[in-house]
Amino acid sequence: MRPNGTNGTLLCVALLAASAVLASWLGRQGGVRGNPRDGRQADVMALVFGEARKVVSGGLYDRADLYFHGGIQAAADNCAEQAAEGRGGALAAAAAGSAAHADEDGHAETGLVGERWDLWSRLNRRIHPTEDRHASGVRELKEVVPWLWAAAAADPHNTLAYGVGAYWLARELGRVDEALRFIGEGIRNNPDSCELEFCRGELLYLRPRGKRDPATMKAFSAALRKWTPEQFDRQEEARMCRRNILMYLATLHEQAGGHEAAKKCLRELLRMVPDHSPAIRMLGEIEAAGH
Amino acid sequence: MNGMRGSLQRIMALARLAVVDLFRRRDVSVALLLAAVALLPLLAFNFFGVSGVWRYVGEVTLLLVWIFSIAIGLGVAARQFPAEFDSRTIYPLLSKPVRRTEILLGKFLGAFLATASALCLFYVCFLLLLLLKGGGVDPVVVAQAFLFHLLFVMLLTAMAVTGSLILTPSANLTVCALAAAGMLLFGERLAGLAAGLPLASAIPAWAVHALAPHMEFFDLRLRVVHGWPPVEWPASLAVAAYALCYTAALLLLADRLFKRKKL
Repeated sequence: MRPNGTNGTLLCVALLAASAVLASWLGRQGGVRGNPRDGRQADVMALVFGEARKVVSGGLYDRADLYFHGGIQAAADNCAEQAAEGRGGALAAAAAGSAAHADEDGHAETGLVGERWDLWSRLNRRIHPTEDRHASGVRELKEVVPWLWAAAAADPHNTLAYGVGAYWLARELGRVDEALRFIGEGIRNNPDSCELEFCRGELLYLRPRGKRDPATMKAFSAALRKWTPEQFDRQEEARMCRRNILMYLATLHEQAGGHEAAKKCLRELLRMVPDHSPAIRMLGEIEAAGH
Repeated sequence: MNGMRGSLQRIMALARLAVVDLFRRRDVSVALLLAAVALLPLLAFNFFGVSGVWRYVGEVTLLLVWIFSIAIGLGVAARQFPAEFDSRTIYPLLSKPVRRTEILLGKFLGAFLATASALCLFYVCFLLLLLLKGGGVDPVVVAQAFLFHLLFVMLLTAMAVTGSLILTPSANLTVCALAAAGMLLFGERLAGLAAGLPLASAIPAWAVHALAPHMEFFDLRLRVVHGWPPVEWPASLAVAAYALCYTAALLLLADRLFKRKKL
């Protein structure tokens, strides 16, 4: 049966009203204020996506990586392969301040007729950009944020999305408070994650007077307590994380006058890396001062 | 001269029917409504208080514009002839002093103009949304993207009109939709794919690469959304020439098929 004009209009109005209600509901949810998850929203995501949300979340994270590379897939793939720490692709490396990026365009196709005679491929390369370009300036960098938020919203156990998202907000966009709220939410959803505690510690440390804030020490202590090698993809990653935590803790203890605690951290660090020069220097300074 | 003007008038009269028919059937209104329903919640988001984030909205909107343009273009073009054959209105039309080539061109032009008019509306909505979200796009790139999209619609409608003379309506819609979506998604990678295959499989892959319509040439969404500069003019002219030649070839084939068709 074909709907008549009145029915059609009513349907249109109903659909638009439903959409407006959804928009307003989303507006009232944390998502608008940078807190994408609460109990109800988590339930909705679980209901819609089920276990597939891990895949969806990974895809959304990759999208953020793609936005960082001006939408060029080949460039994002190249960078991900060459990113220093392997996990999280180029975006994670960029967020961590790594300079490991490729400059190749990743388009070297040769085939049956050869590059010279393949007019269509040549034309494609003139139409579709292939150069590797990294987002720069707040105007471009902020475009990555929705995808990182969406990745975390799709899977609250995607610690990478929380970590990179927080770094992105704090370092690239200068929104430290929002970054801390985001990482806090990540920690609530992943209470055993050492990486997120470490990330929070670093964000607090970077704040003005962050070195004297007891919350900074608390975050790094929690990171050390939660540290287990099983949380990391590679053993080297796990060791590096523990080394960094110990170095931060030693610095914070030393500044707070806790020389014994600082020495304990430095000694453990030196047991892991005997030639760690900043640790050797700091331990020497503490001992020379007679503590 | 008079004969040519008369021919053009007959073609335009047939084309006008398709445009009127599209808006009478409210296909465009439904597409706009669906887009509004999908985009309204997206517009409400404000991530971490960061203002002026617009690319995600631009990307989703342009994706919807492409999907709807394919749906409308195929829908309009594929039903031009079957509707006439089914309702037998083709006979009174053929009994008039109008040539089969003129009917074909009228049907094609009608489908193209109807889809193009819907496309204009979609792009206006896209620009309004960007204005609402504070998006900063290069007007030259948007104009170029629109022109390229028009060329795509021209090729797509020619393909569907030709297909409607060979295949059943549902088969025509399926084949054309698969060809358009397949080439848009994988057209750029066909050469690379063919290069990695053994010779026996590479030959058909190369044949598809050489002969299939490269719909991906017309897709400039990446340039619009990610702020890349416009395509250089020589490449733009090459794409326009490609679309025109391919469309002309398809229409010539359709003309032969229509002339041979026993009615």
